[in-house]
Amino acid sequence: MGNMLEKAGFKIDKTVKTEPNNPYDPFMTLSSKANISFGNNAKITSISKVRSLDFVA
Amino acid sequence: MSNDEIYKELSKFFEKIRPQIDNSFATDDEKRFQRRVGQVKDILGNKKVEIFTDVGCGDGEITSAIGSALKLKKDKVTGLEVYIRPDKTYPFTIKQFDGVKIPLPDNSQDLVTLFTVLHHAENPDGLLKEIRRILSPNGKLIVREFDAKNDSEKLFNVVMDEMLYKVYTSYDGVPVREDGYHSCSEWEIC
Repeated sequence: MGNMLEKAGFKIDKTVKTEPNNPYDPFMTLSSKANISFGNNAKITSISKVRSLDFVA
Repeated sequence: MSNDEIYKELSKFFEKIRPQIDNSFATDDEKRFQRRVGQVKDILGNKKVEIFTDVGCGDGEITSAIGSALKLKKDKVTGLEVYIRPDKTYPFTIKQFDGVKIPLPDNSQDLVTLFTVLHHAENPDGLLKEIRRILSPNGKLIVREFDAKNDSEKLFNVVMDEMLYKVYTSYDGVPVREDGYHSCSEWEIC
Protein backbone atom coordinates (compact mmCIF):
# COMPACT_ATOMS: atom_id res chain seq x y z
CA MET A 1 0.00 0.00 0.00
CA GLY A 2 2.99 2.30 0.53
CA ASN A 3 2.91 5.24 2.83
CA MET A 4 -0.52 6.64 2.04
CA LEU A 5 -0.05 10.01 3.65
CA GLU A 6 3.34 10.69 2.13
CA LYS A 7 2.15 9.54 -1.29
CA ALA A 8 -0.74 11.98 -0.98
CA GLY A 9 1.60 14.84 -0.12
CA PHE A 10 1.65 14.96 3.66
CA LYS A 11 4.37 14.70 6.24
CA ILE A 12 3.53 13.03 9.50
CA ASP A 13 4.10 15.15 12.59
CA LYS A 14 2.85 12.95 15.36
CA THR A 15 0.89 9.79 16.14
CA VAL A 16 -0.87 9.03 19.41
CA LYS A 17 -3.03 6.22 20.67
CA THR A 18 -6.50 7.51 21.44
CA GLU A 19 -8.20 4.62 23.19
CA PRO A 20 -5.49 2.45 24.74
CA ASN A 21 -7.95 0.36 26.74
CA ASN A 22 -10.45 -0.07 23.94
CA PRO A 23 -10.49 -3.27 21.84
CA TYR A 24 -10.94 -1.08 18.77
CA ASP A 25 -7.48 0.31 19.60
CA PRO A 26 -7.56 3.42 17.40
CA PHE A 27 -4.80 5.91 16.82
CA MET A 28 -4.68 9.51 15.67
CA THR A 29 -2.11 11.01 13.31
CA LEU A 30 -1.41 14.69 12.81
CA SER A 31 -0.05 15.55 9.37
CA SER A 32 1.09 18.69 7.62
CA LYS A 33 0.68 19.55 3.99
CA ALA A 34 3.99 18.79 2.34
CA ASN A 35 5.28 20.65 -0.69
CA ILE A 36 4.80 18.03 -3.35
CA SER A 37 3.65 18.12 -6.94
CA PHE A 38 1.73 15.50 -8.87
CA GLY A 39 1.52 14.78 -12.55
CA ASN A 40 3.29 12.84 -15.26
CA ASN A 41 6.64 14.11 -14.04
CA ALA A 42 5.75 14.29 -10.35
CA LYS A 43 8.65 15.48 -8.30
CA ILE A 44 8.87 15.71 -4.55
CA THR A 45 10.28 19.14 -3.87
CA SER A 46 10.23 19.09 -0.10
CA ILE A 47 9.03 16.38 2.21
CA SER A 48 9.95 15.65 5.75
CA LYS A 49 10.59 12.11 6.88
CA VAL A 50 9.96 13.06 10.49
CA ARG A 51 7.90 10.28 11.96
CA SER A 52 7.97 10.82 15.70
CA LEU A 53 5.80 8.07 17.08
CA ASP A 54 4.67 9.43 20.38
CA PHE A 55 2.49 6.70 21.79
CA VAL A 56 0.81 7.76 24.99
CA ALA A 57 -0.66 4.37 25.84
CA MET B 1 -31.40 -17.48 5.90
CA SER B 2 -29.98 -14.56 3.92
CA ASN B 3 -27.94 -11.76 5.48
CA ASP B 4 -30.86 -9.34 5.04
CA GLU B 5 -33.18 -11.74 6.88
CA ILE B 6 -30.63 -12.08 9.68
CA TYR B 7 -30.35 -8.28 9.94
CA LYS B 8 -34.15 -7.95 10.14
CA GLU B 9 -34.41 -10.53 12.92
CA LEU B 10 -31.60 -8.88 14.86
CA SER B 11 -33.27 -5.47 14.38
CA LYS B 12 -36.45 -6.83 15.98
CA PHE B 13 -34.42 -8.03 18.95
CA PHE B 14 -32.65 -4.69 19.38
CA GLU B 15 -35.93 -2.76 19.20
CA LYS B 16 -36.93 -4.41 22.49
CA ILE B 17 -33.83 -3.23 24.33
CA ARG B 18 -33.16 0.00 22.41
CA PRO B 19 -34.10 2.39 25.28
CA GLN B 20 -31.60 0.78 27.64
CA ILE B 21 -28.84 0.79 25.02
CA ASP B 22 -29.58 4.38 23.93
CA ASN B 23 -29.40 5.52 27.54
CA SER B 24 -26.10 3.76 28.07
CA PHE B 25 -24.63 5.24 24.87
CA ALA B 26 -25.84 8.75 25.74
CA THR B 27 -23.88 8.73 29.00
CA ASP B 28 -20.78 7.42 27.27
CA ASP B 29 -21.12 9.78 24.28
CA GLU B 30 -20.65 12.94 26.33
CA LYS B 31 -17.45 11.58 27.86
CA ARG B 32 -16.30 10.40 24.44
CA PHE B 33 -16.89 13.82 22.84
CA GLN B 34 -14.94 15.57 25.57
CA ARG B 35 -12.12 13.06 25.35
CA ARG B 36 -11.91 13.41 21.57
CA VAL B 37 -11.99 17.22 21.70
CA GLY B 38 -9.22 17.17 24.31
CA GLN B 39 -7.12 14.91 22.08
CA VAL B 40 -7.63 17.19 19.08
CA LYS B 41 -6.60 20.26 21.07
CA ASP B 42 -3.58 18.44 22.49
CA ILE B 43 -2.35 17.21 19.14
CA LEU B 44 -2.89 20.61 17.50
CA GLY B 45 -0.88 22.42 20.16
CA ASN B 46 -0.98 26.18 19.53
CA LYS B 47 -1.97 25.83 15.87
CA LYS B 48 -4.44 28.61 14.99
CA VAL B 49 -7.58 27.29 13.27
CA GLU B 50 -10.05 29.68 11.68
CA ILE B 51 -11.85 27.30 9.34
CA PHE B 52 -12.37 23.59 9.71
CA THR B 53 -13.85 20.68 7.74
CA ASP B 54 -14.70 17.24 9.03
CA VAL B 55 -14.61 14.70 6.20
CA GLY B 56 -17.05 11.87 6.85
CA CYS B 57 -18.76 13.70 9.69
CA GLY B 58 -21.40 11.02 10.34
CA ASP B 59 -24.08 12.42 12.63
CA GLY B 60 -22.03 15.58 13.18
CA GLU B 61 -21.75 15.30 16.96
CA ILE B 62 -17.94 15.22 17.07
CA THR B 63 -17.73 17.86 14.32
CA SER B 64 -19.88 20.21 16.34
CA ALA B 65 -17.95 19.56 19.55
CA ILE B 66 -14.61 20.29 17.85
CA GLY B 67 -16.00 23.46 16.22
CA SER B 68 -17.22 24.70 19.59
CA ALA B 69 -13.94 23.89 21.31
CA LEU B 70 -12.05 25.83 18.64
CA LYS B 71 -14.51 28.73 19.11
CA LEU B 72 -15.52 28.70 15.46
CA LYS B 73 -18.73 30.20 14.15
CA LYS B 74 -20.93 27.66 12.45
CA ASP B 75 -20.26 29.13 9.00
CA LYS B 76 -16.58 28.26 9.53
CA VAL B 77 -17.34 24.59 10.16
CA THR B 78 -18.19 22.19 7.31
CA GLY B 79 -19.14 18.57 7.47
CA LEU B 80 -18.81 16.33 4.42
CA GLU B 81 -20.72 13.09 4.32
CA VAL B 82 -21.54 10.41 1.75
CA TYR B 83 -24.70 9.53 3.67
CA ILE B 84 -26.30 12.52 5.36
CA ARG B 85 -28.35 11.16 8.25
CA PRO B 86 -32.01 11.87 7.43
CA ASP B 87 -33.01 12.11 11.09
CA LYS B 88 -30.25 14.55 12.13
CA THR B 89 -30.04 18.33 12.16
CA TYR B 90 -26.52 19.56 11.53
CA PRO B 91 -25.59 22.84 13.30
CA PHE B 92 -22.98 23.72 10.65
CA THR B 93 -22.63 23.65 6.86
CA ILE B 94 -23.27 20.12 5.66
CA LYS B 95 -22.37 18.97 2.16
CA GLN B 96 -22.89 15.61 0.52
CA PHE B 97 -19.99 14.24 -1.48
CA ASP B 98 -19.12 11.07 -3.38
CA GLY B 99 -16.38 9.92 -1.01
CA VAL B 100 -13.54 11.32 -3.12
CA LYS B 101 -14.21 14.65 -4.83
CA ILE B 102 -14.53 17.38 -2.22
CA PRO B 103 -16.79 20.33 -3.08
CA LEU B 104 -14.53 22.97 -1.49
CA PRO B 105 -11.96 25.38 -3.00
CA ASP B 106 -8.18 24.82 -3.07
CA ASN B 107 -6.16 25.95 -0.03
CA SER B 108 -9.31 26.89 1.87
CA GLN B 109 -9.12 24.94 5.15
CA ASP B 110 -6.86 25.31 8.20
CA LEU B 111 -7.85 21.96 9.66
CA VAL B 112 -9.35 18.78 8.22
CA THR B 113 -10.31 15.83 10.34
CA LEU B 114 -10.80 12.33 8.97
CA PHE B 115 -12.06 10.31 11.88
CA THR B 116 -12.59 6.57 11.34
CA VAL B 117 -13.44 7.19 7.71
CA LEU B 118 -10.61 5.61 5.72
CA HIS B 119 -11.91 2.09 6.31
CA HIS B 120 -15.14 3.13 4.55
CA ALA B 121 -13.36 4.69 1.58
CA GLU B 122 -13.38 3.03 -1.83
CA ASN B 123 -10.48 5.24 -2.92
CA PRO B 124 -8.48 6.31 0.18
CA ASP B 125 -5.54 7.61 -1.89
CA GLY B 126 -7.82 9.81 -3.98
CA LEU B 127 -9.57 11.11 -0.89
CA LEU B 128 -6.28 12.05 0.79
CA LYS B 129 -5.13 13.90 -2.31
CA GLU B 130 -8.38 15.87 -2.33
CA ILE B 131 -7.89 16.74 1.34
CA ARG B 132 -4.38 17.98 0.55
CA ARG B 133 -5.85 20.15 -2.20
CA ILE B 134 -8.31 21.93 0.12
CA LEU B 135 -5.83 22.44 2.97
CA SER B 136 -4.15 25.82 3.29
CA PRO B 137 -0.33 25.76 2.94
CA ASN B 138 0.07 25.52 6.72
CA GLY B 139 -3.02 23.40 7.15
CA LYS B 140 -3.22 20.30 9.29
CA LEU B 141 -4.89 16.96 8.75
CA ILE B 142 -5.80 14.73 11.66
CA VAL B 143 -6.53 11.13 10.76
CA ARG B 144 -8.07 8.78 13.26
CA GLU B 145 -8.24 5.13 12.30
CA PHE B 146 -8.39 1.71 13.88
CA ASP B 147 -5.34 -0.45 14.38
CA ALA B 148 -6.77 -3.83 13.36
CA LYS B 149 -3.70 -5.99 13.95
CA ASN B 150 -4.91 -9.39 12.75
CA ASP B 151 -7.72 -11.13 10.85
CA SER B 152 -9.82 -11.54 14.02
CA GLU B 153 -9.72 -7.81 14.79
CA LYS B 154 -10.47 -6.96 11.17
CA LEU B 155 -13.48 -9.31 11.16
CA PHE B 156 -14.64 -7.95 14.53
CA ASN B 157 -14.65 -4.40 13.18
CA VAL B 158 -16.53 -5.37 10.02
CA VAL B 159 -19.16 -7.25 12.05
CA MET B 160 -19.54 -4.25 14.39
CA ASP B 161 -20.01 -1.97 11.36
CA GLU B 162 -22.66 -4.29 9.96
CA MET B 163 -24.40 -4.33 13.33
CA LEU B 164 -24.29 -0.56 13.65
CA TYR B 165 -25.37 0.42 10.15
CA LYS B 166 -27.61 -2.47 9.12
CA VAL B 167 -29.13 -3.62 12.41
CA TYR B 168 -29.01 -1.03 15.16
CA THR B 169 -29.51 2.04 12.97
CA SER B 170 -31.11 2.36 9.56
CA TYR B 171 -28.06 4.10 8.10
CA ASP B 172 -27.65 1.55 5.35
CA GLY B 173 -26.23 4.20 3.02
CA VAL B 174 -22.97 4.09 4.94
CA PRO B 175 -20.55 1.99 2.90
CA VAL B 176 -19.13 -0.98 4.81
CA ARG B 177 -16.10 -2.58 3.19
CA GLU B 178 -15.15 -6.12 4.15
CA ASP B 179 -11.53 -5.36 3.21
CA GLY B 180 -11.52 -1.86 4.72
CA TYR B 181 -9.69 -2.52 7.99
CA HIS B 182 -5.93 -2.61 8.33
CA SER B 183 -3.30 -2.44 11.02
CA CYS B 184 -1.48 0.78 11.76
CA SER B 185 1.58 -0.48 9.91
CA GLU B 186 -0.46 -1.76 6.96
CA TRP B 187 -2.05 1.65 6.57
CA GLU B 188 1.41 3.20 6.97
CA ILE B 189 -0.19 6.36 8.22
CA CYS B 190 1.31 6.34 11.67
